[in-house]
Amino acid sequence: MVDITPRSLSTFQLQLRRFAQNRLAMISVALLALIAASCFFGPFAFPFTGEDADFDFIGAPIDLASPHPFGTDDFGRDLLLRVLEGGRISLAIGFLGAITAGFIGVLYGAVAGYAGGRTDRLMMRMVEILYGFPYVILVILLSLLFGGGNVALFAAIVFTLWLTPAVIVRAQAQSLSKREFVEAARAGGMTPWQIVLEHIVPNCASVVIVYGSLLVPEVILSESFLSFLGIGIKEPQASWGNLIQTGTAAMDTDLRLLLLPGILLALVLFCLNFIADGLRDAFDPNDR
Amino acid sequence: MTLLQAARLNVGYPVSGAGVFSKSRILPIVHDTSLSLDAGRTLGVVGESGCGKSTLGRALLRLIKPTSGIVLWQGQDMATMSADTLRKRRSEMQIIFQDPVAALDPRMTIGRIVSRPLATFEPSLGRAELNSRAIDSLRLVGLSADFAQRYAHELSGGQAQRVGIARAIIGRPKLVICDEPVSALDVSIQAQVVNLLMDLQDQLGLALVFISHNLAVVRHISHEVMVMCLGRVMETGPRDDFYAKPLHPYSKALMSAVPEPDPRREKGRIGQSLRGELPSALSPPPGCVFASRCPIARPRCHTERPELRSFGVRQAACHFIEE
Repeated sequence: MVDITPRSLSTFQLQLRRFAQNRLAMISVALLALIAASCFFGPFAFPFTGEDADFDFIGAPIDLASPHPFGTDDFGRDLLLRVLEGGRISLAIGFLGAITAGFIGVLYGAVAGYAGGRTDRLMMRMVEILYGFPYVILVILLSLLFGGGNVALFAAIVFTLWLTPAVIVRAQAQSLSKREFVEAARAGGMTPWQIVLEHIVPNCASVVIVYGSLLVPEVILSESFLSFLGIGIKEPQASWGNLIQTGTAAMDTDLRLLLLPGILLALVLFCLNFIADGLRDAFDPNDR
Repeated sequence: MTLLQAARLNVGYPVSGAGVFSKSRILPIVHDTSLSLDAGRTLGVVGESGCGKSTLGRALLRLIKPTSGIVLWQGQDMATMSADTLRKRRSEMQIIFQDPVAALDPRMTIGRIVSRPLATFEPSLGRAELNSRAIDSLRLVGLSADFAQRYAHELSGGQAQRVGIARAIIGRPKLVICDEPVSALDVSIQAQVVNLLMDLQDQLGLALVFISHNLAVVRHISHEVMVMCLGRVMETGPRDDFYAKPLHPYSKALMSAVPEPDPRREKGRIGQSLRGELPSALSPPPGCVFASRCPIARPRCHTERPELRSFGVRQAACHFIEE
């Protein structure tokens, strides 16, 4: 007899398969990959860097035949190159920030939810206190602490954004800790840490992946927002936030400086949101 | 040899206060329960839902800390064992659950679920050895080796319960607490699972605590029977004596509530079903917990709680058993 039973698929594999059937999400993944690849590898194709001023082309307009196809800014720096380099920073902070914030939040929430009782109450009150902290003031404080720059920005973003995943995972962990397979794990002699890492965290994966995909655009947006305010990434280093800020200042005379970084940022945020949407449809058990 | 002994065991759940520093209260579930179980024997625990059977089972394994009382495992007080010692000795005492699918982690393969306790109890075992032991254990409960690659959501209830049993017996325990192991299963599957447990008991010399509300199943599997009502023991005794003539009016009421297969005889019995309110566990009555529903209750029953008294090899908690 021929064996016709299909290979067993884990829940995760089934969810990935459902995600792959979502056409809009898959187009978004491809587009995002393209943008990310050109931001990370594109700048190597230029013979100059984004901080090199070309004094022959100051404030040059779009001219595909010139060495600066999208023109230059007021200092003669190549706009396309600066937008790509800015994207590198924005995307890196977005993904690294979301992963770090997610990692801290998941562990914190899983421990609080599984431990329960007084530990849980103390841990969650602390989260609530941190929630109450004014965001911008926190960033300024951290900038002073770290001497400004990328590290302070990254720390500030992670510091404020790990709270929501912690709350979400804690709720999930709390309901998981009452499930019988967790009790079976305790009867099987597993330590609380082993239970948290092997049973609680993997079973929060769906929620975390869905929320994490929404976290990435949130981080990118707050990076842009802070850089726009002038307390994030500082000139001459480019990021989408401070490029848009420069663009807004020159908006009346030259829309080009605003449009290129603005459109790219919007495109990335659209892609990330479509991906998040697709992930939620594929992973959220309530919709099945 | 006495494997497991419990003396005047009280178990409750903490009802937490609202604030961070407020003290939590304990809601008592099981009161003054004593029992003893010898190796290779089965104790059937019966009672209505909410009477504390499952809580008692978990307290015997110290999955819940009892509020007072002693549990002796092979003569050693479990409260005095360090967390580490207790974890190691858990290989000797296992549990299977009422909802067989919820007892399996949905993200793990069956092979991993079954072998996971062994990885704790015998850390020297390699991956291949763990896997082959898991397959041995699956074979023992009547499942083929290819189940090891599957996931819980692909299994039927009966298969999932077999996996739960395979996980429980992989460390060769001496005791398995069966918490309503068949009540979520179809009747035809129930018999298979109960017979499997009895076979395993013969092969491995297991002692079982079989918690159920199904008197017929308990009769089939148990050597001793213990009847509980609202967290208190109403009656204990050897199976045959108990089923031949239950002593306590509560036991009689449970017995008469078992459906009769013959509809003509069933018709005549309906009037015997219990009347009255089940008292609240939050404010238990001062007297007998069954008094409000007891057909032979007298004023004394509402004010004075009956202690367990011996009647030969049996025990019952009722003031008026001689009559």
